[in-house]
Amino acid sequence: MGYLAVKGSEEAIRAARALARPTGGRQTVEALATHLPLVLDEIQGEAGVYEPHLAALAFTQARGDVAEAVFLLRGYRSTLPRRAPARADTAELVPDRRISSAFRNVPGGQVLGASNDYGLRLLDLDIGERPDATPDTGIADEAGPTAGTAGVAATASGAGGAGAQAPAGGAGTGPLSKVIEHLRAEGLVAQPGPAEPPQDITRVALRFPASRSARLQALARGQSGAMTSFAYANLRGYGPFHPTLAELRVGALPLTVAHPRTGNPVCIGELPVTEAEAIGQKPDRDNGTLGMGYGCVPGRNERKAIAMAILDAVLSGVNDDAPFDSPLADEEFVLAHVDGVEAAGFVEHMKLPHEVTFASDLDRVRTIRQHVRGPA
Amino acid sequence: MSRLGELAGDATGYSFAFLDEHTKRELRRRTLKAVALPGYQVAFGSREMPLARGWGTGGIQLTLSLVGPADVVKVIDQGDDASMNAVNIRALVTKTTGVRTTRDAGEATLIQTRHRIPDSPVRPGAIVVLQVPFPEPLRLVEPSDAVTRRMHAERDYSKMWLYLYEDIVRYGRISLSYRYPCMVNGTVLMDPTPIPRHDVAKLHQNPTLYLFGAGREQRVYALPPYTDVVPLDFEDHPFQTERAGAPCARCGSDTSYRTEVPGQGWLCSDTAYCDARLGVS
Repeated sequence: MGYLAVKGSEEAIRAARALARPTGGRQTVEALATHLPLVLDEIQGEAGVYEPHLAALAFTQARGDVAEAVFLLRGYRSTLPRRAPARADTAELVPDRRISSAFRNVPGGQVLGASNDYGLRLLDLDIGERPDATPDTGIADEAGPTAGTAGVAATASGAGGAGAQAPAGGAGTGPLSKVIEHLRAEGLVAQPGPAEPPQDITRVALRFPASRSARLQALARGQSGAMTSFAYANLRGYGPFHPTLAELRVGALPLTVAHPRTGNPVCIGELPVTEAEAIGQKPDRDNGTLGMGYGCVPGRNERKAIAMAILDAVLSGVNDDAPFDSPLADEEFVLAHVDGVEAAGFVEHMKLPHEVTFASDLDRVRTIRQHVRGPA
Repeated sequence: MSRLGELAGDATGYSFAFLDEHTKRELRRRTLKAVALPGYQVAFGSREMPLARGWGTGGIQLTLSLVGPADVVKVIDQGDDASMNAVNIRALVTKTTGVRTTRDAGEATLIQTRHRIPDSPVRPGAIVVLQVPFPEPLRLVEPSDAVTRRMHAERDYSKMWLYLYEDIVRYGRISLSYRYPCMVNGTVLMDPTPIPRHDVAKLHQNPTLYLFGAGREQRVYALPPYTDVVPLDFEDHPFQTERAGAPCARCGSDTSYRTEVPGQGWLCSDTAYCDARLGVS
């Protein structure tokens, strides 16, 4: 009955919206930007817009619903013109954090940066009693020394420094060589393929088979939880890829555009990104190289970047196992379903009135029941 | 009605070794069952632990269910006592128990490890707890747990044998690197965890009790002392351990498990072993 009113009554819609009205304002927006940057990074990554203030507005308006905030920001994105494609080379990225799981140490050192990976996950029951603290951007927690812009900890390796190599100057001072290049130098990992003109799936519809740039964009905009679940299913045996994380880096990526008049490259700013490179376990039978997967997402979202690298590898046909059918190796299955806005929208559309189609269903059900049960 | 309050204990503090006594008792019972059935995966009600889920939460539950005030604990990751994950797990053990820790495998009564078995001899009577990401050796060939349980019940390991055979056809070698599947007591196929084949070779008729804890997958299994542990292989393609590129650049060992560090050469992964050979601690 109330349901019909939703359809019929503007007054009821107004009343429902009033009950769900956001109450947050300036203080909430400021608190989000200051204290909860990771949720804003998640929203910005999935929305495909990097502007922390707008993400804070969206999250406040959505009353803490991440999917809704992403949707609001995507909607706003539709109003923005596309000015120019920017070029970026992640070898130029200045890492705040850079770790490799493939080696105990790597040239330049293992740079922990800010991370809670190795903290005890004990719920801090007093956190609500303390006043807000001023965040020290980029400063590591107690896990490492806090000199410079990031804590630097060579995987302190046994007394005797079997691998300890704290890099002089620490992180944040300049680019570090990429771990994957060490493997490429030995020919263990194939050289990257030729660059193709990027396709923007927000301007040209995603169609299958997708180009690699379209695939990477779709994954970079994917919903963090869905990506994590798909990648986890792969790791647990429902997929063929058994990765080692060659490198994970977090830092500011310089963006360059061609000057509209001169055509010369101009750096227009930096985008914070998380980048992951995962390598496979078994060599390709033809050329003996290891397959790899690539992940790069705006902001700080290590879980999603790693998941993206895993999914990219599987979709690239990197197959560490005897071939078997897995939906994770089907790019339509993965790319069409990792988008959080599409998924949330359609799942929630079940709330819309469906009485017309349901009546049609019931007509068939009643007819079939009569047929199978016989006349009453 | 005060009984409930007594059972709950002091709400503000944590128990010795973090877990409540009921949980520890359940874990020990499951562990005893696992010891009685070598290689068999026993399900247990894995708890959430204050470590990242899947970063050793099964191993730490076993360690905390076994540790007593007189124990001496060693924790390693990749063979390294100073590896960050080992440091973190050791911190939880010491914070919640106050027990003494050591780097010396010969001194520890309880060793928790990820990816390695120490190259130094383990103290007689000590227990080694391995962290387990995937308890199911058949996961490589069959993703469903319901199916693999039936395969174990019927001792149907043909898919695994076929995998090895196809590997030889495809690569000319068995390509399995770590997590090398082994037959235990000639009856059960077991996943030895992602230890290198170098360590797999040590498990056969080993005098130590090995416990395997998978927190995320909620399984515990065990190798009691002097159990037959035989890696799957073929007569004409025998099981092979890893070959390092050079002796340890630091201590010169040519029998330890060594990994390559870019720019530094091959080094012992067991850093306590390496230090002991050099007489440093």
